[in-house]
Amino acid sequence: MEKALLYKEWKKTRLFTLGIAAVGIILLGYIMLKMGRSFRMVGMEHLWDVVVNRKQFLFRSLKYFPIAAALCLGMAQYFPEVIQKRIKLSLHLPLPERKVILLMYGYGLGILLGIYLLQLVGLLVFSTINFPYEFTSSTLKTIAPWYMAGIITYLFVAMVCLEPVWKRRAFNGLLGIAIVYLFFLSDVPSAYQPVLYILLVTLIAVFPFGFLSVQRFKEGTQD
Amino acid sequence: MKPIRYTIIILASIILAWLLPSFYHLLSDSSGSNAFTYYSSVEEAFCSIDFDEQEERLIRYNVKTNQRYSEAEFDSILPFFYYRQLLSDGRLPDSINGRTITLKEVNSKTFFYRYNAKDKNTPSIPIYTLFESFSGRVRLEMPGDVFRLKNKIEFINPETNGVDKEKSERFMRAFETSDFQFPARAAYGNPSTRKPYDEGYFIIDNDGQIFHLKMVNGKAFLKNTNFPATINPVYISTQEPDDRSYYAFVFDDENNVYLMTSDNYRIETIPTPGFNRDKGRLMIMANPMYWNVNVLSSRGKECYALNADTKEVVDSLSLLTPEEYDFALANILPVELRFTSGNTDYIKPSVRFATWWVLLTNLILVAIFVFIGKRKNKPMQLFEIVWIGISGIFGFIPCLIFKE
Repeated sequence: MEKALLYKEWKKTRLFTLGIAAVGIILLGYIMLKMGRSFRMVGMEHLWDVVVNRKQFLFRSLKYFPIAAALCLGMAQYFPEVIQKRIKLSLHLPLPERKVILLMYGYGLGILLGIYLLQLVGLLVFSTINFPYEFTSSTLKTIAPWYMAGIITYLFVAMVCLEPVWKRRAFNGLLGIAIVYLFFLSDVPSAYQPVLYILLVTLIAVFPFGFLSVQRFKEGTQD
Repeated sequence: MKPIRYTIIILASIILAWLLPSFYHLLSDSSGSNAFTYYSSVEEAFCSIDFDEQEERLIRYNVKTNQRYSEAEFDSILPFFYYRQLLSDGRLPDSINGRTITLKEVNSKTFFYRYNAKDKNTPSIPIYTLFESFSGRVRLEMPGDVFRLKNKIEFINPETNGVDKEKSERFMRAFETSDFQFPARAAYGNPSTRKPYDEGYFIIDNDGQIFHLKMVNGKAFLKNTNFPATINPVYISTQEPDDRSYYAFVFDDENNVYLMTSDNYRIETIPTPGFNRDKGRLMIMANPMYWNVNVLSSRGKECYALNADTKEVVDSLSLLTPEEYDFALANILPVELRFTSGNTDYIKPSVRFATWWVLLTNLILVAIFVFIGKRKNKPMQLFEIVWIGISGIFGFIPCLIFKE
């Protein structure tokens, strides 16, 4: 049953999944090519100087990819469930509803984390080859909020889509936008270093929000 | 499902505690007075340029006597600030109050220094560029490597991302033969080629001692500055003055500021009462006779005129304004949560609490919430009541929106 459910999720989202993965890889490749050109044009010493002393962040093009990927995948996965209330079918399967939702969450987050991980590994390898570990450490601290914002975006898309009442959907959406905005307050590299743990706590706090929407859906709450 | 709903309400309240005051500031903020103030070496008094609200124009005046000046007159009473204008007009005096002034002296002893708490409170990558200090060239050139310094010094070649072992060992020997205590706490320098000369880095070691590191003819120059052990330095701002009379401004953990001179690293205390290195700004406008020290904070500025030779305060002027009372911030919005600040590049939460009167507002909101609940025949909700009592308007709104 679980396998069938996961297969259903795959059937629903495969085009988007492959598309997001492709865009993620192309984007990373583009950044590497662009940087390779800079290496040849201005030399590594100048590039290091720009990064260290002028606080330029070389991987800025990745900034909105995690939330865009989460938005696309979340919509692909949950929007079809909202149309004609198809989620009813899933919730009537001979499985506990919590398990059904956890499987859907698990699938989406697994795909998303897989794509993020692929991108991060590529980035880390590239950074470790070309830059000292101090730079790589600063890079990780800079991009961590962007990827956490991606996961939160996915969780809010699920929460908004599964919510049965339109007014509440709007409020959930606004809350999601405000929380995600919190992760993009500064362009200074490593600016979030002192509050990374607060962002992580926020992410953990947001994780079960979708269950409330499902509960309200099951209880038949309507406009 | 109740814990999830409570979490949503708490999170939404926190978000509102951040966004509502921000929107309120967008609507209500206005700029305060930003008068330019400079100590006149001619009149021996503070003089100012300010905007006159009644006359709706800039006025120039002596703060002590309140005498007004025309623009040309004002140039004459602040000869060090406007010396280029006076020189252009052929009005630069030979002496001021009996002291002979030369253009060379004015050029070399006149400087501006600005410190912003953001200079110190900013994330940085601990990789440093050490220039050749004695290259014989007019322009500084990139050295072709950078160094890292924590438990040892290591030079890295950016082209290969590999360690230059020979140079690292050469410089490490200089550290080993000195009394430098690893790990290094911090290193401060100015890694720019757009400066007249290079004095390398000032490094705070694990004992709080300041060491001077530079590269001379490819060799390591490392010297203990014998900084007083009673002072705990936390930030160093290196400078390259034209007359090479000093190396840096040093800030300690008690908000004192010192000038490290090039006279065998002698320390001079710069009086800066009221200065806070993490929340304020400092501006020094120096000339051959007086140093104008402005200590700036959210409440305005305090100006001190120091004797340029002794650094003793000869006059002071306080332009601080009382903290503005804002009815909404004091009585309606219980807290003001901020994540960004003009004093730091880091994202950090900071909270400003309202007055105790806000509890009255919270109580009224609790009553409104109970009234709404009763009208809709809803049972008493203890969590919501307690939460609105604590968080006021920030809890009231989500409790109404995210109701059961």
